[in-house]
This record gives sequence, C-alpha cells and structure tokens, in this order.
Amino acid sequence: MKRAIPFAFLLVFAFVSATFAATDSDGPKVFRYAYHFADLELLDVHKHTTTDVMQAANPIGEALVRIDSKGVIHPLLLEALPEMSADGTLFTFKLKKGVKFHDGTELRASDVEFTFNRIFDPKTQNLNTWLCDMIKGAPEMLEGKAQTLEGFKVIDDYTFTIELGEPYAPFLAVLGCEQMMIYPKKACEEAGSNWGLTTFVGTGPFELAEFSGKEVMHAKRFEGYHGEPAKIDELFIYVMDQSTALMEYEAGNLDMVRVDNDVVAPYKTEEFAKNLVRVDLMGIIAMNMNVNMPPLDNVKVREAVSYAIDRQGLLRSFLDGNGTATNCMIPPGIAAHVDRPYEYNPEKVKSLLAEAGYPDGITLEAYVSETQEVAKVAVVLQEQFKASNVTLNVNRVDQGTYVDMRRAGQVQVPFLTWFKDISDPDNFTYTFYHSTSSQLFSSNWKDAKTDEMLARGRASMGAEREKIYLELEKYLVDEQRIVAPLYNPVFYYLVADGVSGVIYDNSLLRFYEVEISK
Amino acid sequence: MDFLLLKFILNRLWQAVVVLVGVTLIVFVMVNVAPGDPVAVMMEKKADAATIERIRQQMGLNDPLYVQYWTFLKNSFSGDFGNSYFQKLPVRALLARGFAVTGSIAVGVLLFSIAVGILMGILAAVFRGRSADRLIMLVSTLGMALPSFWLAIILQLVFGLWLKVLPISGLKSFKAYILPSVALGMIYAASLARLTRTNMLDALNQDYVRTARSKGAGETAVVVVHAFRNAAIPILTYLGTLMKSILGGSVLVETVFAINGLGRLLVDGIMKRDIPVIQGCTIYIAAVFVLMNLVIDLVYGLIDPRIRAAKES
Repeated sequence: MKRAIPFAFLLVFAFVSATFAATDSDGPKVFRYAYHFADLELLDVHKHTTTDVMQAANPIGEALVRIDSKGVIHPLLLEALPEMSADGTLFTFKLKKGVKFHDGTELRASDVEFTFNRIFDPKTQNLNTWLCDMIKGAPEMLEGKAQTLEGFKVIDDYTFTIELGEPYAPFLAVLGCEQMMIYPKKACEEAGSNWGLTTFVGTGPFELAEFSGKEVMHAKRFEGYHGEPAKIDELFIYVMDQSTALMEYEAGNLDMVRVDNDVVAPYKTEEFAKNLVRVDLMGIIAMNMNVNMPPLDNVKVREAVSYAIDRQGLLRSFLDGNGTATNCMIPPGIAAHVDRPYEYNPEKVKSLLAEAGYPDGITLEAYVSETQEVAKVAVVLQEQFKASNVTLNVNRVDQGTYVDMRRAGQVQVPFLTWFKDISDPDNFTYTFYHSTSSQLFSSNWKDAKTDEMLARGRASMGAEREKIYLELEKYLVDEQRIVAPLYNPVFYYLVADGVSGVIYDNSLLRFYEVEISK
Repeated sequence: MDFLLLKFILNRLWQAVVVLVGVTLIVFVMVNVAPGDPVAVMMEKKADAATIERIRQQMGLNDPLYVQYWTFLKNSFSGDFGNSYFQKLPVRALLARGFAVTGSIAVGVLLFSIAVGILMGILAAVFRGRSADRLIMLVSTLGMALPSFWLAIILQLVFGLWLKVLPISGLKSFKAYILPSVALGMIYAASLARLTRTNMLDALNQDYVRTARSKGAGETAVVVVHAFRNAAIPILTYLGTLMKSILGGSVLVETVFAINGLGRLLVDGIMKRDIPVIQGCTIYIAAVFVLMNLVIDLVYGLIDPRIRAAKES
C-alpha cells in the first residue's frame, strides 16, 4: 500500500500537471479590451438603452453624422451636413456615394428610410424612440396608426428629407447617437430575429466576426471601409469581472481595461501611473428633491438641504478625488455650463430650517438601488447631514423596486446618475424637469415657467439658446433648489504600453484610430 | 426490465410531473407578486409611462395573470419558455448554452472531486492516526471552509498571473477548465475525503475484511475491492447531491472566470426581472433535482443487492 502513495499523488495532480505548457500568443495587431459590461446581451442598438451595447456596436455601425469629443458635428455617411429650412423643421440630406455595408451592398436612401421606419415600428420594440420621436409621424407609427414615417421622404437613391413635428435644435446631435446607426435593409430583414445576435452589419471600420452575449464581441477590420481604414486587424471586447480583467491586463492578455473608481487607487502608483488614463465625463451625479413630499415642498427647506452638502469633503475623503465637485446640472463641455460656487454651512442650514418652521431639524427618506454606485454616496451624505440636524434615512432596495418607486414619483430624495446622450443642455434639463417627465425622476416638478423655457430652448439656436439654458439652470438649481448637483464623474482606463489612438468620447471609446506598436 | 422496477420508475416520473407543475405555479406567483416592472427596469430612466405601457402590451405583460400562466404552463411542456426580455433569445437556447458550459465544468468538478476526494479519503483511512491522515484532514477542513470565489481568485493569481501556466479566464481550451473545476470542486473533494474516510474506517473494521486478510488477500485488494465497495453507498448519495448542486451553476465562480453558465443566467435574470429566464432556469433546476434523485434511487438498487432485495420484498 505504501508504494501506492506516490502513485496516488501522481494521479491526483495529473489533472493539473498535464497542462503546464506555454500559453498561446496573439497576433501583432489584435486589440483586446475588457470591462464588466453587464448589459452586453446583443448588438441591436434599438433594443437596449445602455452604453454597454453602444460600446460594442459602435465599431461596426455608423450614424449619419459623427460628433467629436468637443461636441462638433461632422458628416459621416453624408456628403455634408444637411440643409435646414428657415423654420428649423425640414432637413435635406445627401448621402456620400460609394459607402459599402459589410455585406457588400451600397448604402442608399432606402436603407436610411428602412432604419427610421424600423426605429418606430412597434414590432421592433425599440427602447430608444424617445430620442427622436419629434419626427413628424413618429407618434402615429408608435401607436400603430401608420405603417411608415410621414416625416421621412426619399428623393432619390442618395437624397432624402426628414421633417420634424416642431423645431428641435439638438436634432443633428441626436442623429449622431449610436442608437441612430443606419442598418442595411436587405441584411436586417433577412436576419430577422437574429439581427444583433448572430448577424450585425454596418458601414463601420470593423465587421463582426463573432458575438456571444455577455462574453465577447470580436470584429475584424473592414477592408472596404469608406473612410480611413482601421490600423488594427482585429478587435475583441470582452465581458469580464473587474478583478479578472485587471489580472488579465497585468498578465499581458489585454491591451486595455476600464478600472472602477473604487479599485483604482493601487493603479495610481508609479508602476501603473503612465498607463492610467482619467476621463472627465459629461455626466452628473445629483440629488433631486421631491417637491410633492413635505418638507421638501418648501423652497427654504430645499435651500437648507443644499447647504448641508460638503462636496469637497465627499470628493476628498470618500471619492478620493475621482470626480469634480459641481453645483451646476449641466456638465463642463456642454453649452450653458457655469462654475457656480457652492457652500457647506451647517449653521446656515439650521437657521434656514428654523425660518421654515423646523427648528428641531428634519428627517428625509432616500431610496437607492442596491446596484447603484451612488448608494455609497448617499451614506456619506447621511453622515454629513447629521451636523445640520438633517436626518437622511438611506433605504436600500432592489433595482426593480427602486425603478418602480422612482417612476411613480414616490422617492423623497432620489439620486441621479446621468451620462450625456447628446452634448446638449436639453439632455440635462428637459429629461428631468419638464412637467411630462419630472415624475419619472421623482422630483415631481411641474412648473409652467420651466416648460416654457424648455420649449423655447428647443426651438432656438446659437447664443440666444445658450442664454435660455443659463437662465433655466439658474432658476432650477439656484432659485427653486429642486436639485443639488454633487459632482461630475470620471472613468479610468489602463492602457498597455505601445497602444495609442483610443478616442475617449465621454463614456464611449472609439477604436478606429487605435494603433499598436509593440 | 422487471415489473417492479418499471412500476417504480413510472411512479417517480408521475411524482416528478406533479413537482414540476407545482414549481411552475410557485415561480409564476413569486415573480409576479415581487415588485419591479421588467419593462421599467429594461428602459431604466429613458422612457415615459406611455412608452412603457406600449412595450408591456407588445410583450403580452398586460394579459390577465391566469392567461399568462396558462400560456407559460402549456408552452413549458414543450420546453418553450419564451424569449428573454433582454437577450432576445429563446430561453431554451440560453439554457442549452448555459448547460453546455455548466455541464462541461461539472464534468471537471466531478473528476477532480472524485479523484482527489476518494483517494485522499482512502489514504486517510488506511493511514489512520498517522501524519498523512492528519495532513489530509487538515487540508480537507480548509477546503470546506474556503469560499469558492475566493479560492478562484487565489488560483487565478497564482497559476494565471504569477506562474502564467493556466488561463485566467474563459473556456477556450482544455487548460481553461482546470481552475474553475478546482475552485468549484475543492469543497466537494474535501467533503468527499472526510466522508470516504469515515465509511472506509467502518468498512475496514468489518468481519469480511478480516476474513479477506486471513485468506491472504493483498492489502490493495482488501482496501479497494472489499472495503471500498461497501463504503461506496453513502458516497454515491453524496455524489448525487454534488451533481445537483453543480448543475445549478455557481454565479460567483462563473463571474470570476467570465464564464456564461447557468448560475449567471439565473442571477442576471432575477436582478433584471427577466421573467422567462427566471421561470426557465427554475424549472430546469427543479427537473435536475427530480431526475438526479430518480437516478440515485435506481443506481442504489443496481449496486447494492440488499436494497434491490428490500424493494422486491
């Protein structure tokens, strides 16, 4: 039996030892990026709302225009930016000739028409119709009263017009969103329910090689691309747990990885600092105040609460500098952003509360989803508020319950996390404070003056427009105090040596200029 | 097949149907009484009430609950659990994909657990009270105490990052199965080692072992043929339990290794209120439990003549 011992150990570890061999090597021009993209379940941008899907789809598909990281709009599938009628409702587009989809067919106006009809066809179950439902005939299509979009007219193979129901200044910016990428009619119809799962064809610099939901998107350079061809041969976007992705990066198996703010500290050290990229985002983390739920129906109380926030303390002690304190709802880089001062003053809070009839302080109820990162911020504010006689009870609930409550307008103190969809102040104001949508974010702000300014903002252009939003933002934040902006978020990425050309477009990355020189 | 066995199988299959129908009812009630509208979760902040209502209508979520349940029950019997609200794929296809992944890891876990657990258990019993026994019991205690996901990360660090001999994540090659199998299998191997040791000690003290030794049988033959065969029944029961647990998937280990198995499928479904996925996964897990119990009962009879005789009498 004793002789059996070495043999037994041999058997036990044969399972492992047989595999100790050299690892595979990758080709020289393969770019591999990973993050825990929890929502990367498909590539059809009509069927998801999150950045995860847009990130994986954007190397493959393209919209009519492209917006650079400074917010400037450039023609992409167009010869030039569209001509706009004097009243701002009719746009005439001319497609660039010779643009090929990955299946070899040429982009025509009929493909654009198909895409726009698909966007509003109820059978599509598009979750992003809100972006562009100002196009004439969109409501009728969504309600099943029309089969085609009244506001879309094909003039010839390369020319078409889009008519809006009413002027909407950010319309061109909307056309640059990932959700508006142009699909090829033939390929999309042939793929049927497999579109975005096994088949996904666009005009982008990369063509889809393989997609496995929640696992990997693998694309190869499209040799027939209408613009400057991609410099890398292959692109992989992996779905990976954060710690796994960081290990893979450190082992040299990834070229780039996004690093969550709560684990970034060890990567700010000398060893990794040269590879760490910080991206300040056009986004906002803010604390809304529900004007339907006393005592927040009193503007003096709302003002008091805004002085109970120590933004610098939050940024310094809890967020470790991973963000930028702000007191403006519109982030830097977007028209009408201002550097409004903010003040942390517990004594002023107590005094304002006493004036409002609450000398003994107030109690507020915040609800946060257990999956929200901002849940931790709420707990920090809870501690800060104690010095001001403001008790903030932080209730953690699951995502489904939280969304139900927030949409019903039942959260007294809801927290907002918002990254821009379009680089426009409308995206940070109308969305939350127009009377038709404020309940969804639990501010319940229904105010004729706000609605009127928002409508004027949508219909105006240029400097006049910026003035409207400056006035509006001041009215909401500084006068009515329905929201307390907290900070603008940041993302971090680790980028391997030898990698260049990644374009950081807010929360999205663009890979068409990536170069690897290892 | 003898009549009694056939009757036994049919009886158990009938019970399985009753259990599964009960499971469909409980799951349906639970996912529908739990707060959280799947469409609101799906659209998060980006849609008004009218849009949500329209999408709910298109997805059939506004039908009366009894209609929804009947449709679900009827379709379930043909294995059609509908399409995932988020992944847009048939749940059947997602289950098949998840099962292929989880099942393949289950094979690795089973091989690892049996190889390590039984071997270590036998060795500990044979060398009872000596250093080898104490070492094996210490390691098995540790193995039972270590959380799988923690062990997974340590294995990734050691074998993937530092030694660079095994893949850190994914399931692209045979080698990639090793770390998940070890991480998941460690707790089972440790339990199996302790269980095997206990049963082997009991068997080694039996009269038939003494008889075998007195007849001059070799020590290996005594241990493997005479003692282990009789110690195998409780071990078999444990293996059945082990299979049931493994085939349900492990969300933590699957997440750590970036594997799309059944554990992740179910937990993601719950988090997002993806009702078809929750229902499909739950019925699958219930079916695995029912089936494995049936298999264990049948195998008992095959390997142990005493149980077969009891059933016949």
